[in-house]
Amino acid sequence: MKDLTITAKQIRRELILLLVCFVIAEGVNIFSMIKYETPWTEFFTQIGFVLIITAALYIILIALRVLIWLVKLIIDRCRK
Amino acid sequence: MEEKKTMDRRSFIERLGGLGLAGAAVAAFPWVEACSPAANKEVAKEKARIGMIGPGSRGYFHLENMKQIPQAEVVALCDIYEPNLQHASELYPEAKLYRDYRKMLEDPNVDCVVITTPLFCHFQMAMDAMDAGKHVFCEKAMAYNIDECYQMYMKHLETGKILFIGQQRLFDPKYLKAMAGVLAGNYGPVVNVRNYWFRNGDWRRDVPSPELERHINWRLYREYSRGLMTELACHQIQNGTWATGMLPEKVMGTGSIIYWKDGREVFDNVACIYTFPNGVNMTFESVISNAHFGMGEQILCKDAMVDLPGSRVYFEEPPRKSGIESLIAEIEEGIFSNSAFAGTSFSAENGSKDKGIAIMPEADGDGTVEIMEAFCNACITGKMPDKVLEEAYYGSVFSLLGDEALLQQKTLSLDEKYYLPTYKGRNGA
Repeated sequence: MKDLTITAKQIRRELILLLVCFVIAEGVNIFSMIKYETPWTEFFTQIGFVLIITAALYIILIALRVLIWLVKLIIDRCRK
Repeated sequence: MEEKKTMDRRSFIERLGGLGLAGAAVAAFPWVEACSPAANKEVAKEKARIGMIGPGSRGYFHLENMKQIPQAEVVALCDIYEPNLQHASELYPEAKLYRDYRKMLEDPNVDCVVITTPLFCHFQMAMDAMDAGKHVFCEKAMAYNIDECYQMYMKHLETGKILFIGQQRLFDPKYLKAMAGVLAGNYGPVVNVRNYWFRNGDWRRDVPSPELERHINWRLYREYSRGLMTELACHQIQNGTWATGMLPEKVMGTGSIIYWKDGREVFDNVACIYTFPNGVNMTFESVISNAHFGMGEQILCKDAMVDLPGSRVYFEEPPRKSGIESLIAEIEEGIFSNSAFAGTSFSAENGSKDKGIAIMPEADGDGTVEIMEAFCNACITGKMPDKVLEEAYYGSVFSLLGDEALLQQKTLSLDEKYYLPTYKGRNGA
């Protein structure tokens, strides 16, 4: 069996992507607080929802990247 | 387990108190004091010696409950139907057995009687019992007709004997707590009272031999019963007068036999509308050939709907969701709602999907034990709890008036002479 090597660069990239997802999710929270005129304390109290949205966005991102990788793989094979 | 139940029952007033309602509850429902811990302490070690007339299904249920009440002592049992008498005597083997209630009324060891016989017997038995110097607990409905109810009430005043009618909701902690909120105006003014009772069954009991048909299935025959109005409605009508503090001004309704055409004489479906002096309507609907909706007693106020048996309140404007929940709900609605295809002239006004707020989730029982306990205490002290009979009287009387309206197919009002001299509703209707 082949050993898998995850480089420090890859880990950093994934962490940055996760952080971006978290910022977007917290952005959604801030947007809904402004839209529905709810208290600012929801910035912290709704952290559960924010984490769920973060996870959902990250999963969507993984799915997209897998899809792109598959498309690239098919195109490369066709060229060969 | 049993110990916990007893403790819960005995402390129900404290539980109301814990919810900040003790003072208000006792002021609005003065009768609950009769089974308060203080009342129980007052009668500690004393016994109400009970004679039961008619220990059939409901009577037997009371007999079982009496085992939980330290101040209840069953000393006599009476029934003309031998199987019921023998069945009850197995529960109380020391009780003296009678086949004629008049003989039982002569027994000096009997302080009070519990009447759980068919409706048509209530009046004569209760009157005879009070004349014989016995206190009376009579199952609902109070009597077969309005005049009999009135005479029973006047007999209670004349003899000074305790008279309770089995309207156990008056002692049900769930109802007391919910009503305290309604009467305090916490949910806005009462705008409607909605009652229904749906079952799917023929309401028959097994008859061992044909000549016992009318005797056992007395509920189905007009000679003995007023059907759904006296067997079911009177509990719910009483909720309406209780919640509004008023007495209905008029009633109209209709009834028929639509499914159980088996020789019965009482209706198998009824619909009644009662109108209070301020215009508020109260409905009672019952069908015994479809049980989908079950039983419901709902007080509709301007700001909330109070579900009495479910012990929940549903506010018109439910507590606000967080911003992010509102956003998710809006997105969900945008994805899953039906799009209009013919403009906006009509959209279905669906009922609220709000899950409501529990009023008294810890409550158990339905007040049956508490009302019997209050009766025993009242028999021992000789003190009639305030307003308990009046609430029950009007519950029975307006159910009977409803049945009259069904039969006559007319809008009817209660004759002025049947308004009690002592109580004409909290608003003096």
